[in-house]
Amino acid sequence: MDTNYLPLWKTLESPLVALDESHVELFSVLALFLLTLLVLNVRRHRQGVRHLVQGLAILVFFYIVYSCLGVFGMIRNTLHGITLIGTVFTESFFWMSLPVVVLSFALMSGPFFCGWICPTGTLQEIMVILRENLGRLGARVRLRPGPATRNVLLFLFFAGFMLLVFWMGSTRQFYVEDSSLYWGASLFLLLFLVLSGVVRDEAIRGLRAASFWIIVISALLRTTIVSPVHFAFADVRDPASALTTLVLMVASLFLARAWCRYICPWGYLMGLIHRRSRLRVQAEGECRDCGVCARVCRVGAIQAGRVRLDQCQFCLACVDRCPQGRMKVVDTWQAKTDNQCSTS
Amino acid sequence: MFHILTLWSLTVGVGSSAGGQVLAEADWPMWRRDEMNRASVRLVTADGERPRRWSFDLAGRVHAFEPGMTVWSSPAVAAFDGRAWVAAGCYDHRVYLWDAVSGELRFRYTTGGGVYGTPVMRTRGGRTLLYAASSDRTVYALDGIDGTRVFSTEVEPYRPTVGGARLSAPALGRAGEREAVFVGHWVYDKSLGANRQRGGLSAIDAESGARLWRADFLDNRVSHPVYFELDGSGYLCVGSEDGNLRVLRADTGEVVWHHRESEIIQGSCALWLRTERPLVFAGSHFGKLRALDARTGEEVWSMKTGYWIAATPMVIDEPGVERVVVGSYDGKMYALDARTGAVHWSHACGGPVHASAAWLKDGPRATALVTALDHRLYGLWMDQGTERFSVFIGAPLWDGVSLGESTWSSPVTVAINGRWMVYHGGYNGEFLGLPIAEAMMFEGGRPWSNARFWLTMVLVLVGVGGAAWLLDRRRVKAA
Amino acid sequence: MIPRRTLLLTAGGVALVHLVIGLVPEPVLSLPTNLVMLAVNLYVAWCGLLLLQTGERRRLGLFVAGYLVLFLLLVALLQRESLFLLLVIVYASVFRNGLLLGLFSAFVLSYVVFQPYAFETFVPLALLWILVWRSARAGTSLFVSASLAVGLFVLGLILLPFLHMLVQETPQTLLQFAGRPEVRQALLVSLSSASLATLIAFLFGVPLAYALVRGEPRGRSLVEALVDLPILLPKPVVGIALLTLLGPGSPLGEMLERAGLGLAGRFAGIVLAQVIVSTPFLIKSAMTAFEGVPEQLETAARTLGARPWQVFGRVALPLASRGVLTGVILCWARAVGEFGAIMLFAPHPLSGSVMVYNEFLKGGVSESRPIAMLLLLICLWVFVLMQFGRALLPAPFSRAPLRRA
Repeated sequence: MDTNYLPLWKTLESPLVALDESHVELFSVLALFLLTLLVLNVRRHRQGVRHLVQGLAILVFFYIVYSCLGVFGMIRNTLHGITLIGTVFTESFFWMSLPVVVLSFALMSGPFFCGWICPTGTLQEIMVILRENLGRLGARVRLRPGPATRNVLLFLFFAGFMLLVFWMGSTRQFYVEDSSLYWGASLFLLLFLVLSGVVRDEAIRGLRAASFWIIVISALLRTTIVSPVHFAFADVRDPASALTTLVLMVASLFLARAWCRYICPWGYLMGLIHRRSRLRVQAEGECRDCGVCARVCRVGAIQAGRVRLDQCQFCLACVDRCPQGRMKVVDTWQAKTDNQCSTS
Repeated sequence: MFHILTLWSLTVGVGSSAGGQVLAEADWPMWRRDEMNRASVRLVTADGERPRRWSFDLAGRVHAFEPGMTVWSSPAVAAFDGRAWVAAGCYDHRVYLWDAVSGELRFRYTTGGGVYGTPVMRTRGGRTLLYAASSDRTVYALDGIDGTRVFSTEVEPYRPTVGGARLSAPALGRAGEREAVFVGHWVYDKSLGANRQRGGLSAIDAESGARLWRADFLDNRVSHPVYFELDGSGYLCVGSEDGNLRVLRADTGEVVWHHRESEIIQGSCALWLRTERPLVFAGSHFGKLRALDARTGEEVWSMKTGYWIAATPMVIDEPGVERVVVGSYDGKMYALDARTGAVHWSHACGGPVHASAAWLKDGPRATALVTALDHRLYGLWMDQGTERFSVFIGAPLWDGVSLGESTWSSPVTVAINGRWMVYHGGYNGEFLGLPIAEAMMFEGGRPWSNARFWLTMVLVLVGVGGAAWLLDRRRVKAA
Repeated sequence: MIPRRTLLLTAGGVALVHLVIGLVPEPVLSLPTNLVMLAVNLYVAWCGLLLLQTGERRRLGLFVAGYLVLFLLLVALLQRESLFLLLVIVYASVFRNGLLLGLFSAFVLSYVVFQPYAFETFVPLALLWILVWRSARAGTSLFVSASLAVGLFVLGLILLPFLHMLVQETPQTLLQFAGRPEVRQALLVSLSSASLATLIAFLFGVPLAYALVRGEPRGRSLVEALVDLPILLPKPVVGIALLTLLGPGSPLGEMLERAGLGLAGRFAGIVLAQVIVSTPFLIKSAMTAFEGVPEQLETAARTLGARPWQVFGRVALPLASRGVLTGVILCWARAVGEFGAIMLFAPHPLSGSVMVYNEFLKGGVSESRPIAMLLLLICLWVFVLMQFGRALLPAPFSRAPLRRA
């Protein structure tokens, strides 16, 4: 019998859910965030530390967190929680707590959630690292796939994805909940368009806004679109979500963090917040156009030596790698007071 | 008149097969009729007319949708006045009572809010009362013959600021010496002064409507209470969305024990009393079905399904067959050994199973009836879990099938004058009375299709590609 | 960067407080609540330290005061620890950003204090705050900002009932209602009759306005007063008057009926009633617009050999087009919103406003509200479209081009 096919991976059952004043879930997430705030300042081996935090975050989410930290779910949960204020406080708290924490910390210290914690991002990051290593391996055996090979591979993956969807659809009816499949297919399409040079990478970043508003409207219509990584949070058998997760990982193999670049709705929100955030990465001083920063940036947020705030994920790779030390984390609060001092 | 009827029903009852007697006068005391949640009864009417297929359509007269789209409550079926009646509450604020045989509407009564819980019916001394709990915080007792209000009791007194409420189905039982109606309620008040959200359970005198006692729980919705008698005294078992399953004394409302579940308990619980160690079965959104000792609340066994359990389990206690049947949002029906929790069979329905099962025995093999979110009514053979029939019962009025926000209507099965009927309020606004024999001819029904999905997929891809192209062009122009 | 010692000391202090809370014999907070409180307070303390870093002592004082207010209100008074946790996290994060702090306060005010009307109050409050904040930041004088705030507040009050109605219905209910054939029919009747009425009003109203302005006929003030008459009259009076003249039983009405041109209870009747009640708005706006067109330009056109009708069509009308379109919009809005006269004179075929009233009589508020909302939404949409259209037309005439010429 396949009744117990889902592993009971959440460590404990009862005290961990945010219902009825047991705040262990929120506590663990807050602790994770506070820890990240501390280690953001570590200068040496910062990227290594970042990967450690990402791993830790995945563990925390996998074993402790119940409410969804998926990129759709957080938007939906916030809206749902707001409508429940004054009606069912415990539930409202349950739905809102994690998204609110993420947004608040982003406002104080930049959107480090994206670069350091987000499970969707971490999965993509794993694939990026895998690709880098594969590339190194390929270079050693003098195997460098050209654009044609890449396109063929991409098409093969896309066809495989469609076949899987078709196979899934042969046994079950698709509902609105399974709409993340649309996102998955769109990601393939965009990837193909960008890689084959039909559209430019930076031109279509605006699609994230559309994605965001679609999710908001669907949430207001009270339909549920399940996020890509959602299946890992609750004990949910959700093939569409799992399949989309797979798609975004594969996409990251072709173009680093493609999901974050083009269609992440939560990323759009984080970009909005980043403009008003206390910390931001900024280029100061003379640039020698070595292009290291643009190369290390996984989301292509650095264009012509300038950081795009709506794209930056605060992974701080550019800060660590700039040979000039030109990339700096700037505290806008401090900068403002400096200006005031100098003018007054 | 009644003596003759009873006599006649007795003779018919002797002639019928084992497993429930045939009644000319039957109550429907709680939402799935008995504490085993079988939602099944055998009735006989004075004229002996065989029931036929009928439906009552409400689809054109929609008032307002509730989030989660609760449409009809589960039906209740009772026999009085020489006829069989089926009652259901509706989200259009009304309670309906139909003649179960012909589908003729006897009366409808408009309350001040949606009626989400099954009405219950009780006949004492030739007078039938129908109790309906409405979202206007009020329990109505209506006369079963003409639908006039006998009394109404508010579970929470009116204040200008009091907001909505959600009342569960009432349950009839004994609170000490008196007969009482127990109703779970959750009322909220959003104003700053009286800002509180309270769930609870109230006991109301069944004859006069006087409030007997009230137990306050935390601030969450309460599932349908189940009344049962154990060791000579009455108890109530009720779950709530804060994850607590409580067993209360029916006479005082005192909590005997409670069990903390880690997730919302949306469905109600089932009890298996005819055993040396009585058990309570309840599922939760955690996906686990648990069997707890009814006396102490101690866990006896548990079984994990693949997804939420929003439905209420059903207990089968036939000679040699002791099973718990429950559907899960993983799309499967499970039949478990009631003593050990071992899976006897599981059957994949086409969609998440939201409804509670109803039991049916119209031959040597029993059947479990259940509806799933693929909009079909399934009849599953109880012994092997194979499909006996499945009927398409209509797609929802709007497509926003939100996961598990609502306990939709569950079917009930009734044998009237020897012919088995299933009653079900569909989420397309149609209330259906369907003879089982015709259901089997319905075999196949209308299949679902993913054509719309693929069409939208193409549209989405074209749209995304077009949008990307436009964005690209716009930037080029600007540059 | 915050000095490490300060950070450690503060963190230690916060932890100590929570340790004490946790160790008192009968703890006020359960262990998990205390733990999460600790984490939240650590974060808040860190935010406070950052504020201190910027050297704004007064701001820090305000920050602490706000924290205490939230604490007293939510924990001591309402005993909503969980809500407090969330709000205080947001509070600490937005504190230094005036715009966000204002929005946050509006949110708390709406969703905690005005809870039954949360959304309806939040939207106007948020808009008000954004506009006032922008105006204040742009260096506008205090008086102007205050006037803006007061004016917007009153506007918000006007907005309130509509916003409240807006959140009463789910989109599903609206879609369901929009799918009902009789509702669709009624909305169609409303929209088409209003558009037709506006067209008719335009065809004879604009020339009349032009004639009144340019021709200065002798009885101009009398004509103007007559034009204003339908604005003055209560609408049922218009309906009664029309019925008396054209209704069944009246000689004219009977005659028209026999000729197959009956007006009462017909679509044409609706249009007639709408024309009567809405034309004044068009004529008044058009007159103001034509008055704004300098006569010299027209004279110049005449000297260049243009015929009077050419002057009207190619000089006056284009220059006055924005004002005229405003008139058209007002006229259309008035026509589609007409109820009293139509109700009496031509209740059939059912138009939107009459249907809302009918449904209200039949089924009460809950039945008629979705139709009312549909009407509201559609009219708003058309209105918005027309306003956009206005921006496409040439700007109202100003002196500047004249000087250049």
